[in-house]
Amino acid sequence: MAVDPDVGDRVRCHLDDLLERRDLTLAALADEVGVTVANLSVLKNDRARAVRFSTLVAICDALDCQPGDLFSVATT
Amino acid sequence: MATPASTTDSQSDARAWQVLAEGFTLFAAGAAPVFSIIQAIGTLTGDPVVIEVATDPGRTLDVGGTALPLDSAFVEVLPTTTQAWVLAGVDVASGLFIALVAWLVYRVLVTARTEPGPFRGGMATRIFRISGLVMAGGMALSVLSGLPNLLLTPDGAGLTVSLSFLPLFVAAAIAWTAEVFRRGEALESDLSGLV
Repeated sequence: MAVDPDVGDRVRCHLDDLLERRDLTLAALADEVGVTVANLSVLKNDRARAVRFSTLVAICDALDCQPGDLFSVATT
Repeated sequence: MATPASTTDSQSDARAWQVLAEGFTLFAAGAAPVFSIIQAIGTLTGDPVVIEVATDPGRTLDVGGTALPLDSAFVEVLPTTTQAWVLAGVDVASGLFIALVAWLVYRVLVTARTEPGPFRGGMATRIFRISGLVMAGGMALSVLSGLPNLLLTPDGAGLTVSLSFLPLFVAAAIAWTAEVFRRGEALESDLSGLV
């Protein structure tokens, strides 16, 4: 099956919830992960189209979670 | 951090050259049809057409002890009304072709200066179009350049029409460049939104 480049819109990021539960700010997470606040904001607002494994691992380590906690795929 | 003066100077130099190149191509796009129309009007109003005709093969001209081959000569011929219209049509078509290519090159230069990256703004499509035009138009013009000889020397004295393959090679090189831009655009698209 060919990859549809537009299906990325269905991926939902739950960074907001995870930050709230851990009482963390986006700036603090950016500082810990080593990614700019602007890039994390893109991720948080579901505007990212791809995530580097290194970024994903760093966020999961920082928030003590798994990729499945961070993302979900909306049903059509 | 302050930008070093030499960097600023070289940037403004590059920008000045870019603007100069844009101006030149824009001028070519505007001037080519005008000049071709002037030439066409000249042909239609009775200006003689210069053609190259074959003379005796092997004939030479002695210039300071050197024998120069003299197997062709340029002569002025007055075309008939029908011939003049055909030649004028070729003149105008050539001018429009040059104008179209120059316009596309101008758009490529403007995009290269104004867009934040090289692989944006439909650069690949434009360069592919230039390649197609150079191939089709260039080969057609190389054939049509022999049209005056063919039309004005019915007795066969005119030199034969030649087909130049140079536009084909130039078009291939331009198409190769366009392919580089197409792949660059695809990679840029893949990387946009990467966190």
